[in-house]
Amino acid sequence: MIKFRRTIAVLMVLVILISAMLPAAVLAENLRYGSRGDKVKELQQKLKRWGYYTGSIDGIFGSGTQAAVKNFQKKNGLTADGIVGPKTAAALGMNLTSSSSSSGSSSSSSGDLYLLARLVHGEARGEPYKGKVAVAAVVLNRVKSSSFPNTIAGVIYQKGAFDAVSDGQINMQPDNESIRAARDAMNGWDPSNGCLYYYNPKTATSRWMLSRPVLLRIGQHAFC
Amino acid sequence: MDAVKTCPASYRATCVLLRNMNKNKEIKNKDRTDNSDRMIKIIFCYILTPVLLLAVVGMGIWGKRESAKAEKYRSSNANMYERAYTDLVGAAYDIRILLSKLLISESPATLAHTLNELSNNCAACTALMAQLPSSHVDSLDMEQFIIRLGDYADSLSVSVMKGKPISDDDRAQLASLYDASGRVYAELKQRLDDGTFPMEEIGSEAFYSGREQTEGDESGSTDQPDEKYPTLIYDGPFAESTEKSEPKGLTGEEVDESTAFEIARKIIGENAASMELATTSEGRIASYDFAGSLNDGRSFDIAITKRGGHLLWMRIDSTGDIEGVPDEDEAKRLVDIGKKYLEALGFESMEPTYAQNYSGIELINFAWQDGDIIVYNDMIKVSIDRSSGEVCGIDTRSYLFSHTERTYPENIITEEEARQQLSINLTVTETNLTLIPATAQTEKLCYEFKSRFGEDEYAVYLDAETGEEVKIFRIISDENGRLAI
Repeated sequence: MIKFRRTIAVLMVLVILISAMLPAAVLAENLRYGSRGDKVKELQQKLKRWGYYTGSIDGIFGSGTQAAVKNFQKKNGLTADGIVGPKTAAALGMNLTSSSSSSGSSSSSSGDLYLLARLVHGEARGEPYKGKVAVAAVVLNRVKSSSFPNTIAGVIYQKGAFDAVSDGQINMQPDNESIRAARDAMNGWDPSNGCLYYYNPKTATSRWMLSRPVLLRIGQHAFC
Repeated sequence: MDAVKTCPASYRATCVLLRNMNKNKEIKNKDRTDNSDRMIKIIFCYILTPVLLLAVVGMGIWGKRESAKAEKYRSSNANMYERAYTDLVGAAYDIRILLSKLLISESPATLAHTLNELSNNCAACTALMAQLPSSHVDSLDMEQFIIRLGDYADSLSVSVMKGKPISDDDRAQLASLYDASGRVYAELKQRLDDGTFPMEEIGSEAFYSGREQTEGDESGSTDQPDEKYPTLIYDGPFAESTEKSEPKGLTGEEVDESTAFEIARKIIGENAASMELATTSEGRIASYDFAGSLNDGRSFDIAITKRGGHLLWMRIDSTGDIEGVPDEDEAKRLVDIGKKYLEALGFESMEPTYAQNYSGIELINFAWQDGDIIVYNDMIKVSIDRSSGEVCGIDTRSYLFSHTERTYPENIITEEEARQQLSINLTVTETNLTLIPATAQTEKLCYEFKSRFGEDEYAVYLDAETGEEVKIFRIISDENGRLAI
């Protein structure tokens, strides 16, 4: 009887220990160190586009890709295990199971356009379309203004300029609407009517910002 | 049982629990209770306690390594900031020296060279400022000073290279800039000399501006530029006069909301099921912005200017998904749709220039044709849904900003004479007489030569009076259309 209980106890401890390592081992189609193929290529392309990966796009999951994945996971609040499972894949906007390649949406995204679309997605996901274009237009108005950096990246990454940059939401994959909004703004549409600032009156805390006269409102945002 | 007492409290609590659970059995069989106690003791003392101890030690080591890592990142960050800041002080010093040279140089070659160097240094300054984690509210004035200084140097350099001497006004302006740059440099340098690099300070709201550190103090509003920096008068894209320029094409009397509503409804037409005011916009071109939905449920937005009741922009949800560059027939059909639409709105003689295609739409840039002259500034953008042929967007902003009556120079050279001035490398494919923006605030009548060199396409603009090159654009074609860069 003692022996029996002891065996049970030992077994239980073992089960607990093993179960901690289990999730990583079970899912067969995950991408991990040593994986190869088109999916890895797609992964590398995405990581490269967002600046996590600097190596070549060779379809081989090596240490460089692993480091990039870990980095991506850290930035996006995922477990940084370097393995692309369902959660990481979802955050990357990748589909692990289907073999068909990603949708044929506009592929030629120049760096600036894509960065702008990411900002729009991070800042104004829930806003009406006009509000998305207006957010992108504010960035472009700043680029053209003498008081701000003269490049899109310079404006977007300026410290404290956009919440989506500080909290990492800018690293999410933009949806088609955000990309289109960025493009419409780059083509000149400016629903913000020349504004250089916007804020959400419900959440804004900067009194400097709140003291500026509001020129128009779109969705949740006041533009000034 | 003594051994049990030496074990941790948590163990004892568990013992009690387990023993209570086994109470019935305990009464029946005391031996077995002893055995189970011993077994629990074994599990805790020989397995779990060491595991927990190991975990604590492990976490300690992990924590130490993490904090070492954090320290490494912090110091590598601090080093990067310090490098950028030191370079910034260096660039500010060079700016001051270059400005002093400009005060005493006379020959166009030295002047142009020094002005170019000055402009490069200003560009370096803004790039370095962008690397520092300063608040965007704080850096506004300093950024503006540097950007306008570089912009001014550019415009002055172009005029010097064209053989114009530097005017007395410009000399006076350069002198006041020299003073201001000295102050800027001294302030930046002081912070470096203080010994401790201001890691915390630089993120504050008062690093560049020296503003009192009262978050939200209304006097901190930067609408009034700091007197620390002189006001610059010149013609360039970042000049104050450009940024505050009034829209020339915005003619007519102020209209009220209901008039604007009627204008908007007329433009959308029978299709509108509902429409209401979404916001009034007091931006650079004040407008009434309406939103509504069509009979088929799609939403639309439309803006009518307060002054004159002009259409500023309009957009309708489009559903088409045709991708790729349209063929000749389709392109012609789309241009016709756009032209007819513009004519119906009262915009006569608008000619198509460049077009782009994305998200199932074709966006065509129409420019005003004044007699035989294409006026590129008077641009209206029209978006057409390629599958339905419906106009789903229009943007008249550029047109409203620049459209006006113009007079053109009378004595111009012939197209043939201008063509002699072109690079022999170019094969001309099309020639037009055009009015193009020469500087931020002036326009110039030019011959436009659309031409090829090898595989590359260019649009070269030669002054229609002198034949001088005014501008060169590279035409970039890809699957999303054609762009002039």
